[in-house]
Amino acid sequence: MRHLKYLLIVACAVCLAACSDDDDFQESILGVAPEPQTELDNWIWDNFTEDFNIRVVYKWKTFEVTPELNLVPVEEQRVIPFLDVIWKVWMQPYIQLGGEVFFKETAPKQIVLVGSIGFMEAGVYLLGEAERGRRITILGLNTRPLDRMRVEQFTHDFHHEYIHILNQLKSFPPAFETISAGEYTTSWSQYSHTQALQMGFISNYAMADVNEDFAEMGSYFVYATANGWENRFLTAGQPGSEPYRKLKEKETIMLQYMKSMYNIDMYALRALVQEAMSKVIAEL
Amino acid sequence: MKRAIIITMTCLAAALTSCTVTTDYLFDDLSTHRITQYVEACDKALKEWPEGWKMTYYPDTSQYGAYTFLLDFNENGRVKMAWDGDRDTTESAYGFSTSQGPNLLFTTYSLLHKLADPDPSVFGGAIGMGFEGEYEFIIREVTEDRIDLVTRKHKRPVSLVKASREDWQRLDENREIVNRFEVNREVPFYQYIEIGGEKAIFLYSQKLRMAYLAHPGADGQSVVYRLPWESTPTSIRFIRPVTLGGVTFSEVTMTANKQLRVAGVPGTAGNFYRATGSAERCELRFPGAVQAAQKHDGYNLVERGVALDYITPPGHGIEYFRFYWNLVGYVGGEIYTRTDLGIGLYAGLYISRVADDGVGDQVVLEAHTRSQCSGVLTFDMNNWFHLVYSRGALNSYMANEAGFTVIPFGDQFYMVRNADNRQWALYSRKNMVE
Repeated sequence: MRHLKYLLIVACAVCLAACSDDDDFQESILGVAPEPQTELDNWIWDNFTEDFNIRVVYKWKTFEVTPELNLVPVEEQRVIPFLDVIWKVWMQPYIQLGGEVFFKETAPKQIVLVGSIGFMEAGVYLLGEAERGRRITILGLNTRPLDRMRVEQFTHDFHHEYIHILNQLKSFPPAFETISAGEYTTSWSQYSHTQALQMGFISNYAMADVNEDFAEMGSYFVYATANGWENRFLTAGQPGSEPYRKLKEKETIMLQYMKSMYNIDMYALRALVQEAMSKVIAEL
Repeated sequence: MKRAIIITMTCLAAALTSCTVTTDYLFDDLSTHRITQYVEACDKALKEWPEGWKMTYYPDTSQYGAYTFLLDFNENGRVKMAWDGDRDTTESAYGFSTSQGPNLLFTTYSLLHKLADPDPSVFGGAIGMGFEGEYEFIIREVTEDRIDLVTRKHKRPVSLVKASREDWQRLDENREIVNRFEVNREVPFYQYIEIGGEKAIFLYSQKLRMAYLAHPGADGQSVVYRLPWESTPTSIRFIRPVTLGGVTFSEVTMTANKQLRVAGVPGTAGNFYRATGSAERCELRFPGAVQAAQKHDGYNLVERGVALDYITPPGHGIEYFRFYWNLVGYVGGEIYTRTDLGIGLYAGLYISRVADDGVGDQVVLEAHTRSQCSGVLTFDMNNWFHLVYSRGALNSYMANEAGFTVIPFGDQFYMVRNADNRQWALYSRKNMVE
């Protein structure tokens, strides 16, 4: 047995010796040298990456976006103003209500910025995407100057995508899916907002599928004023009507979900978001 | 048993030591190393040449001519850019990637991206398509004076050649030449050219950077040349020469007083002239033109003469108008809006029939007795944009007793009003995202 042990040691030594190579492993063979850091990169690092572990991808990366669409990268001067809006109307309100730990746990790890909107079929535009609970892509940053309408749109779009992220981390109750079951349609763009409301959807895009329905409920809730929100319900129908009832059921589930899963009071969140939007718009 | 184990282990050790790697590689180096070397050679060349690089970029020669870019790359991953499109300049980021080959990428928005921008309000390209420009290039070859690339999506060749100080200094002259080819009321795009006793129609588009030469062929069919062009400080130069009346030429210029001339052929300027009224209409006949233009029913309006600016809704671009040879049984126009939320409003105007002139190159669109506009309001945010105005304007444009000359070029066709050739429209086969 002792001989066997020695033989094994010798055999291993021989085998290992056979694996020797003259390759130089000092130098990486992967890719090219890192790109130089600009002031913009440093700003993003200081404000988003270092504290919140959010990587902002503003430089074009071939496989970061939907390859089927023709898109262009963002104009550099659009990046900070956009991120500043997002910081005020999305990050700060959620951090204030949920705390930094909650935010760091749920915030997307990557925000991808694209200059153009995505022109899709049937006149539909792609304005944002949320993926795997970890990434939000916002499109159309180069479109028009940063005005009131853009601030409102960014607020809505970002909250919409973030609610997708929250749903991807913790599912919403199955009861939500039953409210408008059978009424979701790929032809949602053929309907007006008014028509959608009168069918029990908060917007026409909410008709696309149940996930969009939930995200639209949450994002419109914080994006619209309290009066605007109530007016949508009244446009849907009188209290007691079918569409009004559907909207109320969806609202209730959405509010309970945000409270029970994330301890976010959506009324308080709406107040903070509305205040932030007003300030941002006033400073334009 | 022990001996058997010892023999087995010894044999195993011997066998393992015999696994020396002796593979012959097809290439001298690892693929990753080779890719990286391409990238490093490209980056070094781009940064080292002090006068920058010139890119004459044809995004798609079947539809568009070339834009000339001058690029100045620096050490910090930044590139300054100028072009012959206008006097704007940009500074933006560039970089490299090694995924699927050595790639040169222009990673933040620059002049180059205007040709790729899918938003027509930016530079006037097709919705969702732009001018089919690209900004990701695969590096094919790096030589001392030239870097050959192909575009990543469509694999179209593009080259960077070393620029000279003169290229930068004379870029304004390129722009001036391009500007002279702007179509306006004084200078219709549509002219006749006569060289060596042979006559042809010469048309050009500044926007598409295309020229078109058409003349009747010996067999009665029209002979057409689509000529993508690039600018020089003194002329526009076709991508390939064309021969008419025994004269081969590849450059045309326009003088400061708006006269067209053949350039680059000593002693031959050609005689460019235009019809000025209905009496002189259509000197050249193109049998089968209408039939060829009807090959596809839906066409996007891609350019139109100033006198036809009313066929698109006020405040809206040409991307809101389409022409159909057969729109539910009628010839017609279609107007629509797009908003942030989708298609908003359709308006259709129907013309009853095409009245062929019997030869086939002219067409008169007659108004239908029930000629009408229709609209569908689908979104709250939309505006009802002067539909009555559009209806009246379209009627006068389309139902015109003087008729139009139709000149087809593959998937495109021109319609030029016979009585006033400032009134013209260029349509391209519907290629937008539906």
